[in-house]
Amino acid sequence: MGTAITLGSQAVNVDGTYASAVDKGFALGGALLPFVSGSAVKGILGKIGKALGIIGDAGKATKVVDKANTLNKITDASQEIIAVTKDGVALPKGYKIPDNLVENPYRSGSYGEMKDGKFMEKLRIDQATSLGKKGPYTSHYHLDGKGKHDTDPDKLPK
Amino acid sequence: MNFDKYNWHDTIVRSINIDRSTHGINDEISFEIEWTDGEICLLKFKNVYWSSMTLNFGIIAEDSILDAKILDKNDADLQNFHSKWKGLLDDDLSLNIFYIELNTSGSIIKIIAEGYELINY
Repeated sequence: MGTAITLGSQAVNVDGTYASAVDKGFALGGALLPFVSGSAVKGILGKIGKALGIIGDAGKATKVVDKANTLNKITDASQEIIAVTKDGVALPKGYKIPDNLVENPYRSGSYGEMKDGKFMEKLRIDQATSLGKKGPYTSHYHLDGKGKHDTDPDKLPK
Repeated sequence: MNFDKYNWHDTIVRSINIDRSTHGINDEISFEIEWTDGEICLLKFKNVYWSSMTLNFGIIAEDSILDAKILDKNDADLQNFHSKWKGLLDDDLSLNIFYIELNTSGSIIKIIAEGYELINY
């Protein structure tokens, strides 16, 4: 289950629970990954810093989703939210996993549709390969169960 | 080449075969794999002593490798394996425990074997 952070002190997980400091830390790490543009990251990090208490005066920078229980209920503030997968990959600002996709029972960051009793993967978000291992050192995603790496946010399923 | 140094990420696993035609003499587990450049080869584990496979099915997607590596000698399964054999194995028999985790299916395979070989088709 991924994590969504609001730009304030009331960060929420996608399951509707309020994010712990660990969740927020994950989100902070994820925001450094390439799904988010450089300028967006700069602004976002400042806001996350405020949310975490690293930078003061969080209240002025916030557009908090009041009492949000699930990501689905977050509507007006959706453009101010960065969703972060459990593995720490930040999604493009305002993007959320489409409501018609369900999470893979065996793999976090993998979403798809149920068809004839099978899970058909539509989107898998991979974190960067850890240092010292061969592989892509940037986060990326896969579409429709294929091996091709993609990082273009416009191609993400809507 | 060191097993851990290969670029396993997103290498597709096309099939898994357990060969016991020479029962116990040289049990082998082979994976037909497709590298990301499309080249197909056989990853064969030789002189296998133990394996555990948690394989998940019902997932429609290319099943590729998330991570493959040799685990360290403190791995619990390797320790348990040696305790089962109670020192009966030859001292010069060098066994490694290999770990393969697949992407979309989340399947996890562990193999204790003497070594491995990559065979190009």
